[in-house]
Amino acid sequence: MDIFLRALCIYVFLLVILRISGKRTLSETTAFDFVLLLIIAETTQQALLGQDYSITNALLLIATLVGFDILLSIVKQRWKTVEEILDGVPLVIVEKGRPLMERMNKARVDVDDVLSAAREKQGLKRMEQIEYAVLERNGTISILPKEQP
Amino acid sequence: MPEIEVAENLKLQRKHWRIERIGWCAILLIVLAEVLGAFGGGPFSTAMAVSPNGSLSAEYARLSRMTHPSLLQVRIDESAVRGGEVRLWLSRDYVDDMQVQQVTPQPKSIEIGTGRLTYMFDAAPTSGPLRITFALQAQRMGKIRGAAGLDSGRAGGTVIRFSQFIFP
Repeated sequence: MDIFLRALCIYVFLLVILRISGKRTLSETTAFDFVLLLIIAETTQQALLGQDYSITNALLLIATLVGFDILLSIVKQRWKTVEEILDGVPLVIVEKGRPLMERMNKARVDVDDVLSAAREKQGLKRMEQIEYAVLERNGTISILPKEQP
Repeated sequence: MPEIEVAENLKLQRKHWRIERIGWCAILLIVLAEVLGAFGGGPFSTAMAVSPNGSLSAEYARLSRMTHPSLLQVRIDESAVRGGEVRLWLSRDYVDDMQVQQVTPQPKSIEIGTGRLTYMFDAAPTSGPLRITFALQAQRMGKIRGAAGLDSGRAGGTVIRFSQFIFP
């Protein structure tokens, strides 16, 4: 019972806290976010294992956590609202070449991020070449270029 | 025949999906077993061993895991106090297999005997049962058998036996 409760606590807590920290946290691979994830991983390990270093403990913890993940993925597929709450929704941030500043400010995304994604994904040079830019659920920015006449 | 060049193998894919679903059931069963205490550490995995005359009983973890702290709670009737002290012995094999990390309260002294270790505690005259707690840590996995008893000088004194199973 204790393994299940520990795994459940940590899983739910991490889910909630990473969710409310905003979309960008998981997709960026800056040194800052990387360090944060490393520290979180270390802290989690301490809390989950406690003083119990048996193989049984480790295997049960892993099985329980994977079980939660599978359960959640099944629930998300059945109920769309759960999926929206847990995974977030996509957001249009550039419309017809014009950045939607209010949305971008709230999502803490700036024009440079959009331009960087445009270069990376579509090889675009300027904002005017972007028809639409969407901030996806996983925090990445997808770019739809203006169609060539 | 699909028109794109994709190394699809639908028969194998369906087999994969079937095995996946079976795996999910297995995980569910394992987690359920854990919640019910099948792997130790839960509310259902402790047991009581009571001596025939009832003056000695011990609560122990029937199932436990390696490196997991385990408690042996011994309860002694106040009638077992002789001359202001209590003598409780544990079988030597048990102490070797389940290393004693701490004894609460600290014993006055420990005596080595053949196949057993006798712990001596000072006991104040009381009107209730006395409790001694051994904090143990399993040193090997598998079935571990133990015995404990009171050294009250009477022939065929009070003895209890218990066995625990330790997961790796």
